[in-house]
Amino acid sequence: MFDSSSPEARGLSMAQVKAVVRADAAVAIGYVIVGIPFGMIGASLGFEPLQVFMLSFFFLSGAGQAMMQNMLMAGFAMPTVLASVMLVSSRHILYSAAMAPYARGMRFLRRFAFAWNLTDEGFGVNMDRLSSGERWTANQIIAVNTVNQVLWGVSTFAGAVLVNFISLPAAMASFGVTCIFVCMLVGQLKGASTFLAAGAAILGVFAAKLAGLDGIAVILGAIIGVAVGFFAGEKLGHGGDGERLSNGDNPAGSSNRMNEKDDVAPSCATASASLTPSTSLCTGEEARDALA
Amino acid sequence: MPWPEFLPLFAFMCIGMYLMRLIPISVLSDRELSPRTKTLLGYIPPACFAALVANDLLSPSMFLNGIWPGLMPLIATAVVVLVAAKTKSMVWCIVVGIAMYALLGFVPL
Repeated sequence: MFDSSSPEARGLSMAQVKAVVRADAAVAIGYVIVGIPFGMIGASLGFEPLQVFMLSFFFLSGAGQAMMQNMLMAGFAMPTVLASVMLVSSRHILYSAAMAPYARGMRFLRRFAFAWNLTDEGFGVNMDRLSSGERWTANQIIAVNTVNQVLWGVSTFAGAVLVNFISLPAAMASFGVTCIFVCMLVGQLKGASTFLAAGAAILGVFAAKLAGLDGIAVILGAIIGVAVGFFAGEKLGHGGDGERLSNGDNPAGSSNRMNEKDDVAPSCATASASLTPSTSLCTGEEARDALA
Repeated sequence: MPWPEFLPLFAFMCIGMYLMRLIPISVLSDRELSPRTKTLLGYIPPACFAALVANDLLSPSMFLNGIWPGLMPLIATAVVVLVAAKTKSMVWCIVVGIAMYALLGFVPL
């Protein structure tokens, strides 16, 4: 439950620090395990270690970073890359909206600290704590997000440096990114409407390429997929998990969730993302509960 | 990537992301997105990831260099789908996927 008694309080008690470590340990370890190969892939695709770090620390979205790297290497124009990255990153609007009630009474800079490093996994961990009986403060929310941000930045940087010692051919590195997307995609597929969304997106991309529209194939396919999934969902009366939706249900949630209940290896999704995914990485049940 | 190309890209991406993270939390403290809007936004991740996978794997000229070079990534991807469904582990997906891709490259077809 959220402890709203002191929204502007500074610092954490030792007990609160221990609670953060307990809640976020699996996600944090997962970030390191995924971050190193992720950084290696980024460097293999032509990004310098400092560039990898800057993207990881400030942009902080595995899915968006992977998409950007992949599309640039494939020769897509910058506006197309930016639009596609923003589209896939738009799930952060949901996270931010879900966190909004907990930011009441905060000044602008504190709200900034509260939200600027929000990720799929951080959202999942914090929502899990907020829905439990344990008291969870704004500082603990910020601490979880900050720990994840630092670990993601450092581990991807380490991976980008490591690639100088372990070579990864570009074709394999590129396929490694494809594997990341496959993992995130599989985690999203819950229920007929999300399968239809994915299928329509795949067909949309292929059709666009057949028509010679390679430059906008990804965005076009994605928009077609979203439209088909949404209207199929409304027709079927279902969300992504096949259950009937009540108001505010999120069919897929975010990408790339760390399954901290099972093991420390990062899971690719539950109800989306992250990095998450994931970037990522967050769960559908928690996102749905938070957004309901 | 050359820094003159990287920096504007980095700046635009970060600005866009910060707007998405900050505007809702600032504006929606007392309001909520409509249920239909939330549902619509929820379809973006599966559609985007599917589009990205399709973009990497499918093209009208994919079999131009022969059936096997075109099929190879699809077979490796099918294995990754199974690994993803079974393990839900991104690390395993990357490791198995790259290993399969490398192994299939040695098949003399």
